[in-house]
Amino acid sequence: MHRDNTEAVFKTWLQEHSGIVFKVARAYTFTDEDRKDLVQDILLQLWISLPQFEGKAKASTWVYRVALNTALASHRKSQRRRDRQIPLLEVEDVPAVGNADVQRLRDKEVVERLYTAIRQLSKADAALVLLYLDDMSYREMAEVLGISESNVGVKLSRVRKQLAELMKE
Amino acid sequence: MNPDELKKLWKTQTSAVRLTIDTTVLLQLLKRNKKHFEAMIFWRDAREVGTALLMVPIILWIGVRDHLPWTFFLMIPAVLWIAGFMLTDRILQKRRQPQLDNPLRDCLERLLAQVEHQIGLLRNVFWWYLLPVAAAMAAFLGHVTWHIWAGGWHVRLASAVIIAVITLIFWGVYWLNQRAVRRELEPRREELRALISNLENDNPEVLSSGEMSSSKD
Repeated sequence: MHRDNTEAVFKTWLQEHSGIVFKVARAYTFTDEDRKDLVQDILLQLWISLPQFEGKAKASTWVYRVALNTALASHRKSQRRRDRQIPLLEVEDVPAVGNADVQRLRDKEVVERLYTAIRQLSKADAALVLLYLDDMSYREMAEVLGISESNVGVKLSRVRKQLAELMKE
Repeated sequence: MNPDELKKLWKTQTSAVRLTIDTTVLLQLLKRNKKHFEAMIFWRDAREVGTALLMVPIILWIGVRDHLPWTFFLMIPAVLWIAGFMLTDRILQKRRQPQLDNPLRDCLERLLAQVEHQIGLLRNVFWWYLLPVAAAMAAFLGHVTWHIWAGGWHVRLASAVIIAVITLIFWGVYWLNQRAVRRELEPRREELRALISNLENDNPEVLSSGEMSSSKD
């Protein structure tokens, strides 16, 4: 991939798939500091791996692979490489119109509970749940995780029950 | 709440927030970080192999300057062996680096292989790192002690102290390596094994047909 082309693709992907980075980082960390670190690590790995992207997989599948691999491979205890002055991914609430605000607040609470439940799952199960909630097909999930489609089905059935139990608590 | 409702809600989270990225600043930062990352890897390798190689002229210089016996120069093949071993290992391992754009399971398996390799290296540090240097040093010290043995008890005592200090240093290096295995690498290996087994353990082939049929979508 040509350097200028790489930059253009990267910028487009950031616009289209930054939500994946945001969700993965949120699911695998407990504090804001760690979340920022993980966002930076994922973006760096995406940038490093991008020249190897051959277009065989969908961009979202590929971004998920890099993001999840980085989240699961990161093994930090005290190393901090973050550039504290530069916020990489700014997150702000979009103001709601009229009564939508109340509903949005409720939704936000449920999503927060969902993240809390996901963080209680094993890291591999959490990966599966993230893909499932993003409405990926069994085939895409299998591609990201490197397991068979039938294994995805069996695993998903178990994890969904587990998630439902955790959401009840 | 049923799964479809959850999925719907899940999607609302990114529409309810605005994700802003200054791509120009981000790209500058990523390019800088990438350079820093590559430089860090390069200098880590250069430091380890370079230190061993740097010992060659130092040994030569000291040996010639002080007219030391030939056994002193046995240190040269020992450090060359260590440098060669580390360099070969680095090159081979670079080829087996986990690719983060591979499927999760492949990436985890490669990471595990890398950690296991590291454990193997550190567990066997005595054979590839300490023994060659220790053997060369023992030959030199034995040679010198043999020649000065008649010099009196204080000379023998000094030799014994030197040998004890060197042995202690070698034992310390060995102990530090084994501690790194126990405290960092083995827990990491267990973590990776657990992750891989977690990905594999619901394999439909090992479950009963009853469980399978009830869990199919």
